[in-house]
Amino acid sequence: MARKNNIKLEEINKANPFGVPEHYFENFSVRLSDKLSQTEKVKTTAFSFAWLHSRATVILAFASIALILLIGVIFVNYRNKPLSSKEMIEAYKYSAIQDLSDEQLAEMMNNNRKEKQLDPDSVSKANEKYKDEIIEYLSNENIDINTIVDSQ
Amino acid sequence: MTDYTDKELLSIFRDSERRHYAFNLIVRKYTERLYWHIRKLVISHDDADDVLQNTFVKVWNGLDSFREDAQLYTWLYRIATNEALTFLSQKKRKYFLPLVDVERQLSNTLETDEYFSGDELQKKLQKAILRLPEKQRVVFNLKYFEEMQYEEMAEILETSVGALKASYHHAVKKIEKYIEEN
Repeated sequence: MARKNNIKLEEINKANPFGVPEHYFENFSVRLSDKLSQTEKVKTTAFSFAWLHSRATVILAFASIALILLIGVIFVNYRNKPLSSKEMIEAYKYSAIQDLSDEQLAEMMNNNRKEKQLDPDSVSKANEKYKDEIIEYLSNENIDINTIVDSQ
Repeated sequence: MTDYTDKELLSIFRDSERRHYAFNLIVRKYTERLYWHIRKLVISHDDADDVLQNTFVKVWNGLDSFREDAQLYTWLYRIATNEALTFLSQKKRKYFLPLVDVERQLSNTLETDEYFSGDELQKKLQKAILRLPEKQRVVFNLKYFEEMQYEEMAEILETSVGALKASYHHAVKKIEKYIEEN
């Protein structure tokens, strides 16, 4: 059975039973000042890091914008660069071809083909040029021209 | 040192050139009272010292925005109480301690505390107080040891006077029962 004490709260000494180290209260404000200055330092350092971080972010943002602008300027300059004469001719041809109707395009291609066909007069002139050389070669080799004609 | 009223101290603090001086006066005026209030909650002197310093750091940081419709004295007690209770709950979380083990740990600290100079009955009373729920401990300490008015306690703990009276009554009953049985 539990032992019972008939002690009331009022009977207990109400004096503070706790103690502190010597000069604790006298020195407290000095230690608190140290702690406050440390806290301020930490705050300042944290602020500096935050400031640096935000500055880096701003620099990065500006660099990105500058890069985008630079790419834009290069692209626009490239597009506005004057064409060389060859490029201009090609471009003109291309645009001229694009403007043609199907019939005009077909006629142009036909003309091109005709231009490329051999002129009969120039062919006969070339034949005349090489005719003497051929005869000379055949006589040197003792080949009868009629033999060649018959074998074909 | 001149004994300024709280209103005078706050008025000095508003003067930007004298704010450090005013804060120093506030610290000197309230250090002991807040220390004992914290010490009875956390028991160990070292813990009480840490909590008291943190309390005044918060006071320094918050004094600018302190509205004078509340009393400085109750505001300081509120910060000190919150800091002490936060410290205890952090201790519980840090060591994964259930409430009973925190009580046991605080009781052990009481047993080995080189700065505890009370007699056996006083020690028994402190152990009985440690068995109370945290908020009830605060109410009991403020009423029994500091003889604070219920109205002031209501301001500090943001509770009604009726609830505080009931809480104190229950606390006394539990403590008397513990002392009877131990």
